[in-house]
Amino acid sequence: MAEDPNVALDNYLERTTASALDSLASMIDIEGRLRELHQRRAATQDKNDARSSSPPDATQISSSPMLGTVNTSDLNRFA
Amino acid sequence: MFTSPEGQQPTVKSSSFDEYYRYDFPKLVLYGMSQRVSRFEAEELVQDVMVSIADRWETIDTPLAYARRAVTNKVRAFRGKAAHAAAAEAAYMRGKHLAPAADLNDGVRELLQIVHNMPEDRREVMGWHIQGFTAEEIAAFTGRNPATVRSHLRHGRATIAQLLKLMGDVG
Repeated sequence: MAEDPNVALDNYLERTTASALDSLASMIDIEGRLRELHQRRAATQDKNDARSSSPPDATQISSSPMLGTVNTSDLNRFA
Repeated sequence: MFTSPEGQQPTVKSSSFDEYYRYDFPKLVLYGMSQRVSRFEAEELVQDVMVSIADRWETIDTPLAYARRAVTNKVRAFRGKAAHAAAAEAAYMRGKHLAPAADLNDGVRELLQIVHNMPEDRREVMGWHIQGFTAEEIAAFTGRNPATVRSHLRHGRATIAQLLKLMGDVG
């Protein structure tokens, strides 16, 4: 008796996907990638910590008697 | 443990981020490759998505779905960059986009080639489908009408079956 065409296609897709994942798992250095991700996040965190702990750059802040303190870098974003 | 989604619980998050990463990284790379980017491009896009997921790990309830949506958006942005688009299309036409997948066997490359030639929406739906997501799950996770998803699946599966000469008629 012939196999149901939908079942045959499901089996084909399952078999092919499993084969692709086996190949990719052997080609990709997952542990290396995971270490890289944690290093990247740690570096970003360090940068953020350094930014939040350092005093503001005086050249980037100006004062106006009418407007109070204005961060000129914010203004530049809309230029 | 993150198990195969079909018929199970793709939304359950019961493991650490590192376990999730090991489980889903290759699957996401394959998903990216099904959306017409090379393996190397897919790895980089997926890594960016994983960083974003790690940052939000405590607040993401459905990492499998979130990750695939994010990869889809990354692929679109990547392919949409004007400077890159023409070169990517030219490379695709020359068949070079598959060069990084040369280590994959013929059957896998054949399937990817068929999916690559589908319209964008169908390609996305089939990308989810070949990883075991059901029509209802794909509709829910991609915000599409279930009838539209079923239509894409019907046509997509028929195309695959026809081109592979597995069968004459797929319902």
